[in-house]
Amino acid sequence: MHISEGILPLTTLGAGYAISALGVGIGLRKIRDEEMVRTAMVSSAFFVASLIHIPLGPTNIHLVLNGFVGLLAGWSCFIAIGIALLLQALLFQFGGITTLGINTLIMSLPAIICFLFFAPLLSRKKIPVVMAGFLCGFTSVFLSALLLSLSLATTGESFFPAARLVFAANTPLMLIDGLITALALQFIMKVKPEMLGS
Amino acid sequence: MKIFFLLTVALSAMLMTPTNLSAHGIRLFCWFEAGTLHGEGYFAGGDPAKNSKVSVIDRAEKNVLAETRTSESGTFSLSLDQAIPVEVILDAGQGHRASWTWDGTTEKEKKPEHRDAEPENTLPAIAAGLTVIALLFGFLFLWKRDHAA
Repeated sequence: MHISEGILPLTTLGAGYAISALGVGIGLRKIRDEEMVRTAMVSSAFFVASLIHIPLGPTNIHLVLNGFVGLLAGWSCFIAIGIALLLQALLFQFGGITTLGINTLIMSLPAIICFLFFAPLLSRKKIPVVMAGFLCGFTSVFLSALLLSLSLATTGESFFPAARLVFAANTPLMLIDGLITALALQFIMKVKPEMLGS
Repeated sequence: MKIFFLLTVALSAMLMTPTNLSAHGIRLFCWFEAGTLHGEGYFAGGDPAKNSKVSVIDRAEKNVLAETRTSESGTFSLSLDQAIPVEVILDAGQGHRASWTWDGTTEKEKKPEHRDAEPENTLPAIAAGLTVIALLFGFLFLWKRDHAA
């Protein structure tokens, strides 16, 4: 999911930075003191999760957990994911500095969408926790794969062949992320349900 | 705070299993030998970049001199004039790309600098990253508090 340096055109990189900066700005305005520790924790989880890689065909996939980050960090997920991606770029050369904006957007926007859709369902108990967690993890990776395909299409590459490769490689990840998000949410709902009240 | 501690321990135990721990960035390593360019693409954890597209670009003319794909072991070989300055690009798909540049030296063949077979030790970098995250959010907390006052 990390786009490397030197692939995308400047316009895409600029748009990625602009939208991510807006997201970070909203996050900074909305984050409350009592949410700092929780946001730092999910940022740390996101930072470490991407280091677990699963060899698949010509490439590697890794855990993303952006749906989980979205549910716990809410509007602060742009901050949490942006910081984690910056550190991954600096420490592990995942992605890069020029692609930090677009990579943040690709992973944070689905996290926000999942937060807006699944958090109300969870708080009103309209859907079982495990199901909500699985759908949240699955959907967030699905949307990230869609955004990744759209980003790669701006290089002039045909959308559908690139998207086919991205979705083929990431479908197992959608299932794994969904499963882990479901288990994590079930645990949180048992021991500290108020954590989901962003 | 107890819940955060428990969650951190649980996530750490789940995510930091040594056998699974590995970096994800892609690497490209090339060298010339007897008029042939040899190369190897691999992920930072050591897994080969299989069946990935390799393009050799003439750095002066900016045109593609040769294209091939990596083998199941992530390696490739191409007959190439060592005097031409080239950039070798490895594309593993999904935005994963690495490159290697050659300045066209002909006097002496570049000695291969074989990569380590063992996966990189990422634990110090992970610890550094987690520390920086904690510090950044600490600063953010203080900054928000000062501006709220």
